[in-house]
Amino acid sequence: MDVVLNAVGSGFQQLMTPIYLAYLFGGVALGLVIGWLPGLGGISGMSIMLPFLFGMDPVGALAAMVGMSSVTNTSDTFPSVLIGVPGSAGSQATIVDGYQMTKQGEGARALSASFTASLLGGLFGAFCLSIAVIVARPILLEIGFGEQLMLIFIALTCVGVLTGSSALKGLASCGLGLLLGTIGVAEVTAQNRMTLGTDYLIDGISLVVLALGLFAIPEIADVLRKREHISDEVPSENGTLQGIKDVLKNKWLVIRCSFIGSAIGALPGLGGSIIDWIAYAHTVQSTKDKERFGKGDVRGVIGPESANNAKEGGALIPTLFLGIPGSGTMALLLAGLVTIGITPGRSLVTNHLDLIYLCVWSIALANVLGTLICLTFSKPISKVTYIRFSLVAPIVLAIIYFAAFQATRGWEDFVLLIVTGILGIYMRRFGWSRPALLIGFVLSNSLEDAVYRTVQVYGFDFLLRPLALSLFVVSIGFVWYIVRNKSKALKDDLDPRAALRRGPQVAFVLLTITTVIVFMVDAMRLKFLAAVFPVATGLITLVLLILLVLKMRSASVGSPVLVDMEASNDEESQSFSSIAPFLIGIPLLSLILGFEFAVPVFTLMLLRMKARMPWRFCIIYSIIAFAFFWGLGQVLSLVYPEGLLQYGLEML
Amino acid sequence: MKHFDKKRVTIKGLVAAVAVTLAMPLTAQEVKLRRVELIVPYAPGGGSSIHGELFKEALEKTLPGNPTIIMRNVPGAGSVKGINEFHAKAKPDGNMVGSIASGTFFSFLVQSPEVKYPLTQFKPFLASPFGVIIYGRKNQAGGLGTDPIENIRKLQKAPGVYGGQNAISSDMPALVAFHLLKIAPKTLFGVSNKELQGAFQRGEVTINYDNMASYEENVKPMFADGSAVPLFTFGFINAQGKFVRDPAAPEIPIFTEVYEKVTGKALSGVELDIWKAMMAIRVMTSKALVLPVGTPQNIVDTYSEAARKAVELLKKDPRAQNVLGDYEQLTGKAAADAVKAAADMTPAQREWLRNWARTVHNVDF
Repeated sequence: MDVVLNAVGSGFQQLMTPIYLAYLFGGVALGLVIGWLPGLGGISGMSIMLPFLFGMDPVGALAAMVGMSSVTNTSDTFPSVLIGVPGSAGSQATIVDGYQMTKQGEGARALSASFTASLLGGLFGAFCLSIAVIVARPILLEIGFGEQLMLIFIALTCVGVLTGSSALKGLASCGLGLLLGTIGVAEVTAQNRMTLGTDYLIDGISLVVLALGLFAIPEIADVLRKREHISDEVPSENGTLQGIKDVLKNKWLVIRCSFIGSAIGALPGLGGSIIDWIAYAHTVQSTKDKERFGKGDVRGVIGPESANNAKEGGALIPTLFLGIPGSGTMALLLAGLVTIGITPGRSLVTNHLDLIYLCVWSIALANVLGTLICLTFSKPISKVTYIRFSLVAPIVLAIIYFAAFQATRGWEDFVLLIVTGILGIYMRRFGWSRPALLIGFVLSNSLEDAVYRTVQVYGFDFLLRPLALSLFVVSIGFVWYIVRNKSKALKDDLDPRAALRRGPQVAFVLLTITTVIVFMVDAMRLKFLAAVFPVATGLITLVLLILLVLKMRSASVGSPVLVDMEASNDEESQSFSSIAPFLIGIPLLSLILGFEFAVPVFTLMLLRMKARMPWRFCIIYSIIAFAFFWGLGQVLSLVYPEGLLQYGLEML
Repeated sequence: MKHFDKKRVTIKGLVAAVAVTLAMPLTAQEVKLRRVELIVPYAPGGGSSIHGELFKEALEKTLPGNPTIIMRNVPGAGSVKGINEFHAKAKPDGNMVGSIASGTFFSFLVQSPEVKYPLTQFKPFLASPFGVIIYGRKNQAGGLGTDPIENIRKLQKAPGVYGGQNAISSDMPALVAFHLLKIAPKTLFGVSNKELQGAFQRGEVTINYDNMASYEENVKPMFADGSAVPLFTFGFINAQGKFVRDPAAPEIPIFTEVYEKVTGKALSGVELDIWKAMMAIRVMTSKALVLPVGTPQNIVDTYSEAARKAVELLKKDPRAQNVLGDYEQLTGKAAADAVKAAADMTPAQREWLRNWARTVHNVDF
């Protein structure tokens, strides 16, 4: 015990030197900026830092790396809450209620609630890391393939909570997500699935692009068509203070979600991008009055935000103690540690216990710093939602395309974003659960792998392992609980007019059915091990979709299977075709000018033609936009998508 | 989609045509470099990026005119995407360098349809070898001991579980080695390296391989605490073309030694050729830097000389130890020969591998 206490103290002392505090602060500053920019997360931050770590001393490097990775999940809330664009893979669930709050003039409250929750979550994660020194190793070594499979089952049951008003549509969405997740190379047989003959799809489709397409594009389209500003209401007074109070009122929720975040971050098998959804599902499931969820309930922000910061402390546990990275960011942190001469694993605990406590202190301090900075900016930044949207739109659209481009840094990212954006727009319009699709997508590979590994290593004997068996019982319990509560679950405000125009809705289902069949036909040509998962998932999804069509034909007015948000459209809003040029303006212009120049030209056009601003304003704004993306390109050493212009220049 | 592809193809053609015309007068000129781009076809933070970072700094100092080198990661499809892009975009003027690794060779070797680069025609100027070690859990096959030959005999009877990516990429050499030793482990594919470490510690996977980079810190402790034993290393090919023990672990026998003692005869014929190719890919050209097809000899020579000086420079650099280990760096012709040995495979060898992949692992290529 003395050893531990000494290490706690010496870790703290080492950190409290001005130079290391400066490193920590530098890391925090980078992390905040990276988190704030959609598409960039901890992984990008780490890869920016790695070259500088070469030859740095361990304490400083560790402080900078941990500082950076601790706060990306704090600042990524800004875009999620304010403009409905996921700031990183970890803050998708925050959009569901956070963005609704912003629309209702409560942006500042949503932000401060989420930052406070992030802070508490982060501290909880640091606490978990500090006590893990004693207990982590034996626990982590108990989580074998069978246990991982059961954890994935439990995570999948979250879909039950997030199906929206129609369970049938929600489950079908999840099935579709599982199928989309199978795109790419099936490692077991080294065969390509649904890659359509492209190199691009070999690595599967990117979660970031899919989330942007499903959430950001439909929301932006909606604002462009129907609203002047993102937020219609007058800002509420004292939003910031109210947000902090909200968190304190829900302290038990914060603790439960922080625990979920740390635990999933530490355990193998699930991965970080599902944590916010699990926390969100838990939040909805564990509260009595569910009516406000999806319409701006502050608890829908608090839950996921406390979990995604708690994750970082958790993910450090296997990284430091076993040398097994707990996330993508941690894999790079591991690489960073190795370049500075520290090898994580058993020897770290025996030889460098002080470094572990240095990490604990760094997380805690970084979270406090990050939260303070974000809170300070939350009120002024949230004002952006009261500015006329046509002034913000060019930069928001450019950021979305920039974010999508980070997936593989190729032209194809733009195409994929447009395709998933169209999917998102129609799913939103016809009341299909986008979270359910996303959960299916994220868990698809883990589920397939876990089933195959478990059967290969254990056969069905894995259920004889006590831990796997108890997890199995837990997952059954979850399903039972969800089914029992389903009758009380939230119902969207159903519009009776939706029943009058069934044509487009049925057409969408038929198109989905065709897609599922294409997936299955493609899988048929593969070897058994590569085909079994898509075919089985496809069959179940097909049954759900056919049931849905039958139900839609016979459904009466007010049934949850019939939803069409356009049915009740008021005359004032613009049609899709009139805003489509804005949505795809950037990639179209990029074809000719390349992305770098397409952004300022697009900005100029939009500001002049739609917002009707004076020339001088438009030109200055465009120059700033150009400088911003050009600078980003330099920092990240990017080559932006090139157009005819660049190819032409190259030939001169 | 179609639209983009078509455009790209015509533009590629035009660029190539222009590049060729530009290259002709260059041979006569002195080599001038200002801004060099280094394409790393893997994600940031991986082995290739760290290797690239190290040589980027050193080459900036040793190349004539001290050009700035910008490292750019173009990950995707196991290095195929980045190297395709390198091949399509690079002009033979020395201003673009590609980093290739084992994955680049395997995709080329199995003639995967996505590969659009002529690997054998690139101009290598540096190759960094790295050793490989195979080890197993002690508590399997009735308990493994200190005698490597006895261990192999036990594993032939009770082969355990091996995990990896898939049979026709970076795991191929290890799987071929097991096959030649008549060990048929149960295989678990699609398992990433980080997952494998956990699975091995939990005992769900019982045979594993590792790059020598993690030997001292991650593998040796497991030998020390008695949870695992070494089976063999791949060894190293010296300047005389002989298989020798790995400089990082000279106490552990190499594959060819173990093979000879277990089977009673030396490795020979097509199997020896296959093993040489596997060694060339996995160990001798673990990472290599290349110039594009058609680069004039004077530019290649300039780079080779700069690489030789860079290696000298790095010998004094403590950071290089973690990245390059104790392995002799190959530059100039030695690097080109090593890449050639790894990439050039006769139809007979390829047929052997194809047959092996199909019959043993049910994978076609």
